[in-house]
Amino acid sequence: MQQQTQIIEKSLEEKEAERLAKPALKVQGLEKSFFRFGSGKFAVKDISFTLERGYMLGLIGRNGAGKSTLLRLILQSLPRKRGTMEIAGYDVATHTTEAKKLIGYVGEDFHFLSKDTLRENGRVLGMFYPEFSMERYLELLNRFELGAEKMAGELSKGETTRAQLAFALAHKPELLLLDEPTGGLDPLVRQEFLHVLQSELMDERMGIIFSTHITEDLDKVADYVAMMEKGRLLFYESKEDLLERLVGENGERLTLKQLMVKLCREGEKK
Amino acid sequence: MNRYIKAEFELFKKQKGNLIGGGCLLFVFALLLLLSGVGGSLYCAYVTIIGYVAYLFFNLAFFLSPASHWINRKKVIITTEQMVLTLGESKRTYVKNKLFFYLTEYVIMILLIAVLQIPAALIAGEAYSVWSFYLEVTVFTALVFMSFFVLFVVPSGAFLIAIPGWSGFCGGFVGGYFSRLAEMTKEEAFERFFWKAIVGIIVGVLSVGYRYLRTIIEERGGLRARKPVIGEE
Repeated sequence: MQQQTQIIEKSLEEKEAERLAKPALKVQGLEKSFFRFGSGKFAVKDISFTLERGYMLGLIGRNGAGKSTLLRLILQSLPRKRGTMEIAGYDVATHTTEAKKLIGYVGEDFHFLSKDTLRENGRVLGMFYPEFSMERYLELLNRFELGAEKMAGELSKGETTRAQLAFALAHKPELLLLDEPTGGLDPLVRQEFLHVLQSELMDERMGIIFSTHITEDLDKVADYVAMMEKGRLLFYESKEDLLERLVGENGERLTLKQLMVKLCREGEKK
Repeated sequence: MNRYIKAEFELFKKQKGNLIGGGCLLFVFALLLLLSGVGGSLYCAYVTIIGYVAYLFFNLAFFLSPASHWINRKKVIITTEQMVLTLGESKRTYVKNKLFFYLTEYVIMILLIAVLQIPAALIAGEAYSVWSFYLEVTVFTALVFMSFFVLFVVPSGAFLIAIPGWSGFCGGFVGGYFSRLAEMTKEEAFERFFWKAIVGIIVGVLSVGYRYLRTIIEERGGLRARKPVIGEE
């Protein structure tokens, strides 16, 4: 009996190790269109990429390029038209619940209970996650200079973002989705925010998708950069390769911001 | 009890406005039911409508999330579905839990009606009959299961507009016989109300079935076959 239990435990451990060896996110042929009285308009079209654990993908693009829609499709708060997704080794078509509990999300769609304190929010909303740690949540709130007894409805935009990140990291996600999180943060907090993200990547358990217009942040922390244009992925490559490959008119090195402006202008000319 | 049911129940408890509204209606419903034996069959059927409105109030507490935000000085209330989907819950689990909550509420209401019939019978003495209870249960069953159409099929954006219209239609469908109840024989009325309840149950089952099937298709990634990606294995 004991031997049998040991064999089962070993097999479960092997399966878990096998799963942890798989990428944080693998997306194939992802598509989403919004129905407009007979004519389907593609918001996201034919997106395929893989994000390994321990890496951060910076997602850039103009307003309306489809970045937020892509994140919401991965989060499955929007149904996809077609395509497959594997999150932390789980196929979302067959293991939706297992996959969902491993996603952390920081974005405009996330809502705290405004009439409750951050501690109460952690208690109630944390119930949705089996791995949620209240200690970790309170520790992160403290690190982000947020009082646990502060009412969620009284938080500023930047404070809400920090509280969301504290909540997202407290349930130990293996895929973290950040939808323009640093917009409302002051420089000091932004630095701390990025520092926390970098330290979270150290154990190579989690992958991060960071959608932003503030490309300076990606200059500091992103490993890969992808650009979206009209619902399509224009490119997806490592930041170093990209900056080396694409140079300015006079052969000078470009920053990500200059690169984005250049590509957007080229897109407009086409 | 699964984790998500517990978590959603916590959200439900935070919806104080709807719970107080539903509780007040439930109190009125209970008070009127106590007099059901005195009031007669037609009275019982009308009173059941109040119970149904109380039931809808409680459903609103499950439907609307306690989170809200302000956009351009306008308060935007989000649905529980929107909220739980950004948390770690899958759509399929949400649909199953919603059905569990609605059916639990239904059973509690039926039990409440049954329990309240005991003091009602004591108050009414010989005027009380099982017929009153039968009428209440069939009317309530038809209304509740027919409301599953709005609760499961109508998109969340149109829900608040759809629910008064649909409730009115259901009330008309079920209450159509109220005025003629006095003219009907007991056997005739028994059969008609039985079929009303059956129609309600069929509408309810079809609505839940449709929603569940649609959810499975959405989670699978659409009806079409998986699209192969060039360069991938």
